[in-house]
Amino acid sequence: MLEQLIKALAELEEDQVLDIVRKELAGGTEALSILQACQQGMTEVGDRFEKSEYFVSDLMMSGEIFKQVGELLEPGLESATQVSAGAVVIGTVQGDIHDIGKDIVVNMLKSANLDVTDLGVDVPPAQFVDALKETDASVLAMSGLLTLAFDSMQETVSLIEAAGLRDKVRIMIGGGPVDGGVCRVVGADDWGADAQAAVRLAKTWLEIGVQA
Amino acid sequence: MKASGSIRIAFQPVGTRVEVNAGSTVLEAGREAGLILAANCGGNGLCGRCRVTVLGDNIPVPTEAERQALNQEELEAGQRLACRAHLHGDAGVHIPRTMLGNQQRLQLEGGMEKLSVDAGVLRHNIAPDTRPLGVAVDIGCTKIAAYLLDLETGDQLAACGMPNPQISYGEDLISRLVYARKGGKQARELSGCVRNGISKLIEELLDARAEHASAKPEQLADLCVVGNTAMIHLLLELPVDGLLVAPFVAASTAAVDIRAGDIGIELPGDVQVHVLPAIGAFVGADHVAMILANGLHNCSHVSLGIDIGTNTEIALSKPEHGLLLTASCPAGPTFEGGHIRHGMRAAPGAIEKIKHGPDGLSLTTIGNELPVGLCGSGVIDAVALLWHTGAIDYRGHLQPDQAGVRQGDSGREYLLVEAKNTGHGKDIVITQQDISEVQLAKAAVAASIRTLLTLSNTNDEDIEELVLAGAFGSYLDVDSSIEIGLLPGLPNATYLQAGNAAGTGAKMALVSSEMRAQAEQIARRAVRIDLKQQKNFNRELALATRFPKERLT
Repeated sequence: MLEQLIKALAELEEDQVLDIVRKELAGGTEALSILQACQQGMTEVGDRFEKSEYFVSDLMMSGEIFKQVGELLEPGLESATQVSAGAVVIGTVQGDIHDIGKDIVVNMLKSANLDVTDLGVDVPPAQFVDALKETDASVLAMSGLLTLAFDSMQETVSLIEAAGLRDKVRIMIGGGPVDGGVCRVVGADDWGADAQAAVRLAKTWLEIGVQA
Repeated sequence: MKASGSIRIAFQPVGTRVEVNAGSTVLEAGREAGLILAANCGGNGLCGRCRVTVLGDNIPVPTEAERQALNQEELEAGQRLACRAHLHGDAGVHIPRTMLGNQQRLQLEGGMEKLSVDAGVLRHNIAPDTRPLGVAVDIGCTKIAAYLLDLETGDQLAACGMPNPQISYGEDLISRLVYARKGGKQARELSGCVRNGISKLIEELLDARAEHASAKPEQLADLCVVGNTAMIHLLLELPVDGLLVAPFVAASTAAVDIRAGDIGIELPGDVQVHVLPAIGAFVGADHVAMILANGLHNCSHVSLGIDIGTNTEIALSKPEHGLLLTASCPAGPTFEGGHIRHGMRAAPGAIEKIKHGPDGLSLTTIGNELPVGLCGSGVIDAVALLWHTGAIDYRGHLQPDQAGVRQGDSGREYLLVEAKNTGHGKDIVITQQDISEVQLAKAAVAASIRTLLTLSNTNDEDIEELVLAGAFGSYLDVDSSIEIGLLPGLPNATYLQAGNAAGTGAKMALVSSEMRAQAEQIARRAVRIDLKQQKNFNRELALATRFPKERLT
């Protein structure tokens, strides 16, 4: 049954996925195993995206399905402890409110078993710094689509430096016009052209292996 | 290699010649020559779309950006990017017609109804015994439309339009705002563009009228201007900073009365300019004018008004609750043919309609020329065709076993027109990536409409009228749009393609103080909904990227 779940998620069949999850839960399967099957399905979605078989709309849909599954599993997951592979703080920077790309990355990171703190959109630099302190996360991902968002990214990096955290945190940026040049100007460590790239970076930095 | 002094550039096929400083880019030379070259990314060498062919012996060495955007064969043929290629010697430049802004089809006509005139705005600041004339102007991101009216009768005497000359500072609004923000000089360049454009249109209008009757600049008494909030900011040189960052606040949304001379439109008399009020940073005076023109604010039934474009504005009127809701969503340039492999503006040779009948496909192109690409309405029809014939599944994925679907150099694609039947001897295809772009764009519109309806407890059955305003809304095929889920299929609604409704609203307000007062009321009454703040919006968006599970037959 879990094989079917992986396949249904990979095929983005929301109704089927939710149906199987409900049945599995009713049948006594542990929430954690169901979650892991869904994470596998999400990995498959990511792979297909990388092979240009899937597109942004598919990532959006997979994120929505994963969110629905999360809600169904939540009660069962509270007692279970899955060791997180690492912590990431993420948000869309101040002055920008684009969240679709950021949300896709959040869901992909979560499905990669990372502990994700999503600060939402229009996040002031100080809030990023506070979150890094609170969560002890070693990866920060900043998103921004507006050219003016780059100023906010730069400000955030400066504030992280001022807080003495720069050596402990690796910083990636992403969003429509972001490229290597922007990355250098902003002072980030690296950048990603799409959600898969962000996940790959996070995994590499957290040394949990990168799937081909 | 570097030559000094001035060089001569000849543009083909338009035949314009210009002398510029050596080292100028093709784009700069084009601007100098008064040609409006589409620079999608604002001339930053990012989009790779401003392809031109440099002719003669002085073909510049390709830059890195050009090497990325063009293949070896193209480079050897002299193809370059207009924004990157620096000309150092006399040369000819061939500009493909897909890039030449001047040739676009311009939507001018809105409703043809008789305008009601009242005395309020008749300014007798012109010589007695002369007929007072007025001009209504609609400034859009892509085009400016202007109408000459008799202020006493409300009759339209002439209409003309031009591409917005700001287009060479960036196709999209953000590029232009970013440019204007750089400083006073840059802001004045952009406002100057529009002001000159308006002055030129006024001249053209008077010339057109003068062929039949007396029309002198001295007769002009009044101008009425509408446009989206950014365009009005750029026209009036208002600070644009607030329009560029969240939470997106306009410097002013108020109606403005100003003398034409004060905004650089030089006319003989003391001509007044009235700018209609806006609702917000992304719901502008043009939307107010659209609501006014279609009476959405005072009709007795539930109605939706939609202007689909790079920025899409939606109004929902529920008279029994006294509700007038407005929202905007960025649908991107897809519906203007942007971000689409073989997309183009609505220029000659653009496929604008595709019908699928028992005898196969029938294509309609603008100007009845051989097809060279697809404009927005053609893109919608093409995707509807793919959906209808089963070439894509409900996720939008091309099905490899279906006729016409093949492997292209960047993934799957659908062969729409074979090379032998096109105007440029190359296949016209719809790529998987194109379909994906359409999915995202149609989802933005559909999810916005859906969210607005849900929020206001409106059922599809309640809606009696759906007004489609603007150029794209006037040319799109309503059935195709419903079929792919861009527009909702409303069981009890009449779908009205209203043409340039913003222009009509501007005309109404030009000749009537009552209409100006109503526009004022609309701007005050309208409630602006921030769709991004709605909890379910992103889910609606994801769902709306899909195609309806049932295919229409």
